[in-house]
Amino acid sequence: MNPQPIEALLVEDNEDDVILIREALAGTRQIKLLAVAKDGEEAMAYLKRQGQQRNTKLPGLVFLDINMPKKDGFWVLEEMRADQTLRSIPVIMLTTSDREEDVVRSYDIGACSFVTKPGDFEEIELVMRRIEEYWGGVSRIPERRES
Amino acid sequence: MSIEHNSQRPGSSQRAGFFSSVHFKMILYFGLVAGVAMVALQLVDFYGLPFIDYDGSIKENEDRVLRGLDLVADLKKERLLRWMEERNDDIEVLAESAFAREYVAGLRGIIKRGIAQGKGEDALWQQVEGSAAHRAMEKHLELVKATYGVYREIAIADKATGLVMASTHSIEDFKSAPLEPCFSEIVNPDGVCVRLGKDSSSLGRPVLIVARSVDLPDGVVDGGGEERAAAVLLAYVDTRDFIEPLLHTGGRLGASGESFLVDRRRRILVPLKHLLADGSRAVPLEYEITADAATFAARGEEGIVISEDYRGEPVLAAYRHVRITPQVGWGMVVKIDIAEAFAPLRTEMRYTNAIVVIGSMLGFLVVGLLAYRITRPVRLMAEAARRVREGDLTARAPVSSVDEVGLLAGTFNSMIERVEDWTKDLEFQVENRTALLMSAYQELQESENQLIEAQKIANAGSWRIDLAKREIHMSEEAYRIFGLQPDEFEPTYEALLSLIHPDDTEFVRASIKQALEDGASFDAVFRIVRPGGEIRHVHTRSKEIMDEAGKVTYSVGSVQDITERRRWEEEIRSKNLELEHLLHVASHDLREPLRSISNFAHLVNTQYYDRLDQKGRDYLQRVVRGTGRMRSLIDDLLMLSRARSVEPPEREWEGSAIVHDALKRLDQMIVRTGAKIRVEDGLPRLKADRVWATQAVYNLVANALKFSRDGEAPEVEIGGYRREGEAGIVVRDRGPGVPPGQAERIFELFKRGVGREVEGTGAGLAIVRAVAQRHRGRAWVQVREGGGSEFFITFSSRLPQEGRVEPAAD
Repeated sequence: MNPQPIEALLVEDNEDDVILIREALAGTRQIKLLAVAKDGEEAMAYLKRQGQQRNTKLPGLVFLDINMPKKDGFWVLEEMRADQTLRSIPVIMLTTSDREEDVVRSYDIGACSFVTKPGDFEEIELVMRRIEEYWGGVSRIPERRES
Repeated sequence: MSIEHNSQRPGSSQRAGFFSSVHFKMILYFGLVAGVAMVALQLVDFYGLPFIDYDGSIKENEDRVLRGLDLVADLKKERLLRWMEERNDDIEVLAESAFAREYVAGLRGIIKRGIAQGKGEDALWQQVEGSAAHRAMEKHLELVKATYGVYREIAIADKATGLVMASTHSIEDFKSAPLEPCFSEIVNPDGVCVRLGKDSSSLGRPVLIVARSVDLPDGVVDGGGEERAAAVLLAYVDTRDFIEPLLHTGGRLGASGESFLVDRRRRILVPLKHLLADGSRAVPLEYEITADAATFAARGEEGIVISEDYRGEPVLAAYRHVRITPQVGWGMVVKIDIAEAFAPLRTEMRYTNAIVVIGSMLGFLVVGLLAYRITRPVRLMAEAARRVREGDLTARAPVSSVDEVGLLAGTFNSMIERVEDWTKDLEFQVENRTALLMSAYQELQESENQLIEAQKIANAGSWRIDLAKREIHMSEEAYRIFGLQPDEFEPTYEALLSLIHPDDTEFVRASIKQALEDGASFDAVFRIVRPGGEIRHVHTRSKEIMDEAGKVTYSVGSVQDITERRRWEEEIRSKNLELEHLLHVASHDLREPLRSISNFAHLVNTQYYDRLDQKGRDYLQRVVRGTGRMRSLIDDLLMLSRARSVEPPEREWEGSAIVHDALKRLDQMIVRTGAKIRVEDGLPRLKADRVWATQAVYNLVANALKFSRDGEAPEVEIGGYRREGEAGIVVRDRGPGVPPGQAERIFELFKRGVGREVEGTGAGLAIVRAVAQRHRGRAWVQVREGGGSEFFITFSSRLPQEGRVEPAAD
């Protein structure tokens, strides 16, 4: 168990889903939502800004949607993996897609996990609890970095 | 009107030329047999046969040459030894003669005294020369030399001082002997020395030296315990005069043959006949020879060897050991060049080969003449047969002999006579029949006119191919379909093929060939190109009519223009595809907003329940229930759209396994309703997509579970259904049954047979029917005996049609 909750960045364009995921994460103790980005560009802008100034922090985990306006999730993932500071942050793909090529491509370019977003809120809650169990308990993530 | 055959006319091979004729083959085969036999015999003669004693003439001749050389070597050795023995005897007689011994004693005395007086060598010599004994001795030696004629010089030297006591040499040349070869080698009184060396003259000529000690006369003692041997007798023989002729004469050695002597150190003792490899001449007593034969001979061995000589030439060489004295042994080599030794043999082989070649050629010639005579009647008969084939029935083969060929020609002729008779008979009959046919034709013409009208209406033409006459007949409508005018087009096979669309030509050609070969009917859809360039789709069917031998004689068939039908079918198909796509996309996209409604209704229900009044809670419940129903509807729609795009299956599954899977998924529902389910044994195997077959059975059973007699638990029976070409499952219930007017309606989408009180979206049976249709099967309901319904789903048990162009009815 990590002593402190993991602070996560959620990248999701669908506001309904943002609310549902926020609600679902509210029921967990180990994962805390740090920020929400509405598209890929916003997500990268946020990630690049963080760590530049004092008292700002990078997220410990990123939930990343694939289909988004402007820049999509693959673009964000590739940008992160090309960045010295960001490449070690674990990224969980959280998307409505269940296409095999999306799964393969995600792992190909460095996703840590691929989760198809369930339709029902109860199932979303269940998925988030599982993610909490795994990333907050079973698996280790890099120490939080503060500049 | 004729069908062209592109195969070669049979019989063109008859003119294929000399090289494929029987005549040529006979020459070839008999000639080869004779040739091979002669060559084989000759090879056996040359090289002999394995495992038996005959070694062949080559080996025999080689042996003969070897034996000859061996003999020559033996003779030469013998001669040399004998000659040497004579020389030894000569010298022995001289050395042992009392005369010589007396004078030696006298001269010895003079020398001894001279030494005692302290005289020098020259003084001693003058004293000796002045003595009477010297003069007498010299005279004697001259006499001996003249008598034998063999020796060039003879000398006697004092053993102790080396002073020459007497000599046939002139005095100036020869006064002292110790440096002479052999002089010092005679150490014991009986010593004998034979050596080849150079004489003491300024020329240094090669000489044979025979030396022997001369004893003092018995009773005379030299005093001081000296040896009895007081002097050495030296005799010189010029090798060029005696030894070389001895070696080189006599025996059949030929131009390249020679013999020579070597000492133990392989130095040659006589000049060699040939120059060395570098062009120089070997110097006797100096040149060491390294060739094999010389080496063996120097070692004291005897034998014969084939090897290279000092020039590097391959030679046949016999080597001998010649023991001259107990101490001295020479090696003798007698050799001849292989090229010369075997030359007669080679010549003989050349002559024999020439004889074999000439013999074979003569053999071929004789065989050719014989073959020409034997095959002549056959060729004449073949010529007659060719003329008959070309229609000349008067042709006959000449019968020139009474053998099998003659018999064959006779039979052939009588056969042609019968054919000629038949042909005449046939022509007569044909004339009669033609007259009959003409009248029948009139009638036919009328009915044909009717047919033309009928074909016009059906947009279908007909055709007939007479394979014997190579004629094609096409109906008027058939011409029209091809876009042709009957009077402008001659329907040959090739001309018709050229009208077919290039992409289809090969397929049609192959299909027709197949049909004509095995009489299987021809049924194909293909494209044609009308003369104006317009492409039409036609469907052609044929029936092959065979004679008693199973050979196709007629082919009749129909040709139908299906271009329009094709077009409609294509249109319907693409419209259907569009609809399927629309259905899929619509139902998929509907899910998204529905999910939001459902989720937020849920959130309000859990998080804001307390803040709502009773009415609000009721409304909210209705929203939740409505979204649930909506979701089921959309899920069913999606499933239906997927069911319609199932690919036809390629393998079979056990019906019982599929039913088992479906029941397993229904477990909860069965427990909840308390239903009794009975599955019959022996369900058929189903050629179906397993997932969708299971889904269909699931839907049927789920449907049946909803219906039961009032107040009772549902009773469901699952059985098998088999008919020709299809197999399926039947699900029976004891529900209220389907009203007669509703039997088809309930399989349509969202057409429910019952009210809202019964759960379900109304898509279940539509999915069942879609699954059945995708498998070329059926789905229907009928009234069950004793109340209730029977729902059937069947799957085609035939394999899907493959590859070939099919009529477009799908």
